[in-house]
Amino acid sequence: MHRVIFRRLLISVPLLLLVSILSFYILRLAPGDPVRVYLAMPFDQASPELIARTRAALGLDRPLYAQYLRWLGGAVTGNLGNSLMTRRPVSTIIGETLPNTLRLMGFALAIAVTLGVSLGMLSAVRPDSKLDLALSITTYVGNSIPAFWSGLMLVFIFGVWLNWLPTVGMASLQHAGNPLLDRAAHLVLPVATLAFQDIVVWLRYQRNSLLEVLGEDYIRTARAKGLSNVTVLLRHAWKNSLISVITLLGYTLPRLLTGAYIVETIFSWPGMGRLSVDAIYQRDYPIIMALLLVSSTLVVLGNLLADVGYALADPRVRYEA
Amino acid sequence: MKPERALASNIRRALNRFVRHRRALFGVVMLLVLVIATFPIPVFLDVDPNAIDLAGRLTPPGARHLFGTDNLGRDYLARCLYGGRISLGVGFVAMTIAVMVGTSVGATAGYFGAAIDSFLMRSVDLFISLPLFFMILIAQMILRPSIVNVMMIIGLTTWMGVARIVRGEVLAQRSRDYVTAARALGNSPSRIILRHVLPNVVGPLTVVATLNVASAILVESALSFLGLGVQPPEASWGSMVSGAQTRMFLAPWVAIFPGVMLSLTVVSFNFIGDGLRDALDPRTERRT
Amino acid sequence: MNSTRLGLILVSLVVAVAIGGQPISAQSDQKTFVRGIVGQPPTVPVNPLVRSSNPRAELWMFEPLISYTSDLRPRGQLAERWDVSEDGLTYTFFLRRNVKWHDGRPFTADDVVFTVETALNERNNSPMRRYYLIRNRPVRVEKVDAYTVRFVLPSPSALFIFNMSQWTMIVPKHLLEGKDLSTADFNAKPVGTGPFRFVELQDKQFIRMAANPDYYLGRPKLDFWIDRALGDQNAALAAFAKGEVDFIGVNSRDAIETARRIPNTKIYSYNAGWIFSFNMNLKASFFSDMRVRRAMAYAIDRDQLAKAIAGDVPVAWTLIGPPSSWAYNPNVPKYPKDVTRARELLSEAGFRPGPNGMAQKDGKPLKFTVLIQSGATDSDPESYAVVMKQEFRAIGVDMDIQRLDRPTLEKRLFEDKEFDAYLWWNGYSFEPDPAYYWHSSSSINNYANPELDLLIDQAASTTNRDARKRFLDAISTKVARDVAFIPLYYFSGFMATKTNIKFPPPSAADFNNSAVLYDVQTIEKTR
Repeated sequence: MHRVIFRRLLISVPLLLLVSILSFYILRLAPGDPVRVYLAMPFDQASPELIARTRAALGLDRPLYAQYLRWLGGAVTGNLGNSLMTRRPVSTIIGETLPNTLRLMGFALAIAVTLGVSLGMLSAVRPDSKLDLALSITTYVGNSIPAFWSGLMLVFIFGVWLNWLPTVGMASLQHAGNPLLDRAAHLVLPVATLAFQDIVVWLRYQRNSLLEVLGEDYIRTARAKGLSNVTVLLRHAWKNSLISVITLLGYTLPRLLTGAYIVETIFSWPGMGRLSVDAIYQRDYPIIMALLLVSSTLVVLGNLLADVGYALADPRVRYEA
Repeated sequence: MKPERALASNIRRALNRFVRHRRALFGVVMLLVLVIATFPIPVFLDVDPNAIDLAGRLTPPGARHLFGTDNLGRDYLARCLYGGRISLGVGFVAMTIAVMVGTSVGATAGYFGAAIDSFLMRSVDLFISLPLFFMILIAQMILRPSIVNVMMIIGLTTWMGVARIVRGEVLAQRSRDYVTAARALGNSPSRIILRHVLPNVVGPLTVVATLNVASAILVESALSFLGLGVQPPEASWGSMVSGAQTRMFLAPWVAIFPGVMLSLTVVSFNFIGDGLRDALDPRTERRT
Repeated sequence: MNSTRLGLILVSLVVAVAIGGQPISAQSDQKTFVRGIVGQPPTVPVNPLVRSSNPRAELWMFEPLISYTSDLRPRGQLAERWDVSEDGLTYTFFLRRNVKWHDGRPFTADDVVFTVETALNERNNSPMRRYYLIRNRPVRVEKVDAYTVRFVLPSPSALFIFNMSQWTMIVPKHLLEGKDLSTADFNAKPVGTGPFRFVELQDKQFIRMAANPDYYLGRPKLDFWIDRALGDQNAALAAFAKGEVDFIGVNSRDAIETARRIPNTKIYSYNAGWIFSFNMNLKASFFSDMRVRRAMAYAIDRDQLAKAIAGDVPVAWTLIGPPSSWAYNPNVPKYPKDVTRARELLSEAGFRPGPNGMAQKDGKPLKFTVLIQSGATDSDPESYAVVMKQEFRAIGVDMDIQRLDRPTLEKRLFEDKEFDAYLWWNGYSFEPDPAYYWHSSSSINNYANPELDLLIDQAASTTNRDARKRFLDAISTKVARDVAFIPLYYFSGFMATKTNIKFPPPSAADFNNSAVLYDVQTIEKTR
């Protein structure tokens, strides 16, 4: 077990390095550069001289490998450089934005997992019942509606029409009441949009793995001994299927970071998704590199978590290859 | 029992289970309707989805235009049907690419094992480590943005799941007697993989492929939200819904029709995938 | 205490911390004006010497020497008045004596000289620099006394006073001298002279400004001004309908129509002077033939296009406008839709209908690609392109549409110069200078006409408005006769505000653009 984890971590170092080289070069294949966006001239009136000078000032006129080595040198010592647009340290920007995203995605994930797992258990107790069918249809439909469509509907129904909930940003600018409630209210709609999409994944996963476990011999024995379905479910099956959930969680982790661009746009949420897409459109290379690095690290950690869950779930882990 | 015979009876049993799966059946019927509506029917209707009539912009649904018209007065029914071609096309082509790449990588890795496996699976890790959506975004900027490129890019960025599953299955089949026997008879690796190993992988592969179609359609719609992907005047369901956003109050139908069709399609694929999984999983039989 | 309750308390604590974050300071004052911003959110550096960023919160904190009245006459802003020498080369500005920086220090001629010299220094890469260049040569600035500044121009210029009202805001010498401009602390804690002073900036979320009680034109009637970043046009409409913002820009015909249906809403519009136009690469093989260009101009119905897509905007026939501008020339050649004439012109140019009905010459079809910026689906450029595609096809011209993201598009247009045609906004102000687009030295469309070059130079150096108008009229006639581009409509900005917001004369309500019209201090908000 420990050896598996250690080997995984060891492998991840060259992996991350490779990811960074690859993404650095891929990034630069995209035509255009940040200079015109940086200058923010009315449309096209920046002179070629100004553009050339600005390009040099931003260090973009050097050979690509030199730019990469410079970036790598900084990154190794914890300096991710400055945003080309605002000249603020990238670490500061990520430090401001990451918590916003984690808050949004954390709640969405918590709700999707909680609802998904508990509803999945319900489904598994009576497979193919009316309830199972209804749950599966509802959650699949939720998963099939594009976020920009469902989010927009929520905005107009609960935000504009009923006027129950705020739809802009993380908090009101002028709010007389309890600031905590205000922030919580701002979370409801975006979290609902995101969670609605994901419940199905957890529900199906939990349902199927529970069904699988319920079919195992030891559960049959327990049942035969006269224990009620619910007791069996809670005592034996739940624990096992939880491990599978951990595994899935590992694979989901990376999506936390970047999965929410559309929801962030609809709800004007200042998170990582918008930061990344804006950075791509502005060719703000240091920010994109930092984002790629953070998200690949999350992938590595997530895979590790998944492996651990996998190993826990199945002691005969197939590592013979 | 010979593997072929066993396979045939397995398929029959799976088919039986699948047909009894009501949601999956619904999905198949729905999908058939959508495919017939989007592919052959528009040919007979002979309505140009790009014919503009500025005077009749945003006409509500009625006898003349069943689905109303859009902001340029184009017949919305025709656009929804032609848009469906593109959305479904993206789903299928992207899935095919993903399955082809994923199967080759997974089968090679699983069959040969050792260093080749190690190398290929680490590449899979590498690809998974790149955030998909941003890679697609950047790739769209590098290549000329077009719907063909969208299909290719989505396909080339979603094969990793397929590779992992195929590898696992191949790994499991590799040491079976019939494979060993085939190898002893001097069959080439590619022949063994194609003739003996892959048929056994078809089941789980179909499930992943079906779900891949659904997710590819959704990814395309997300790209449309950013104004990437299909080039005007062509449209996909995703680009139609995203273009309809600012008109939702003035002309709700421009958002509702393509939105419903898109969601129905994705739901159908999900149901089918679900049904296939249940049908192909022999463990579900133990339960009943 | 039982463990369930303890658990509950723990969980709620965790939730509280997770939701929490740092609180945004609460102000329940009703005199706060919130402007919703879509696109470029408020961000550092807030320093006009470093970036000319949109949206221009800078305009409320910093001021130039000159501003314009709502009927477009120059007036003093930081300068009280100015003199111009006989030869039009020396401008002397007499500064206001009662102006203070937001930190209490007096504003003097030193600040003006510092700003201009810093902007002109090439090493600073300031976007402000171009306003102090007259035909590519810098002006000279000198301090006469503490409240008098003299500018010496290399040659007479019709645009100098106008430039002094543009992105030429004065910054404080005492806070910026000797600092690295791109990283100065000032960029996150700006200090200006304007009606609002800086309070706080949450990067990419909002910037909050407070009324400057010592403002020399009187304390603003609002207490706070907030620019708040919104996700997109829909988010903006929703926020506006809910009353979370008092003011938003509405950028399409249907968005305007939607905003109109929100209760207590007024729609303002302003003329920005930009022209939305179809531009051709005049070096591309068939666009070099004027008959082809003219045929294409005859192919499209500009009135109908504008009415159906852009909404209530003036249709453009030439480069200088809108019709309300003093420089507008109504007597240019116009090309109303005339398919027969268009076909004749094409066949005069040697293009005959081929087997598929599309025009061709020596077996080569008349086929090209128009570039547009990717962005919101069904944006104006996209709709225009789609309709024009159909109209061009009617005369046998085959146009493809290609959407590109902005950096890619700009590279194609301005650096690689690899394009057939593009739809874009050409920017002209109410003091128009056609040089950038039409002078052979800088024309993106590769327009080269020595006669026009001369006219452009003459127009730019003539300060007398009547004389200048004659040159501008000649330019607009010539460009229209050549069909050097196909202007489509004059861009109008539309804004939705709540009815409880009172602006100075509506025509002056310009919030987004380079035309600098002040009097923000007179904006009122009532119950």
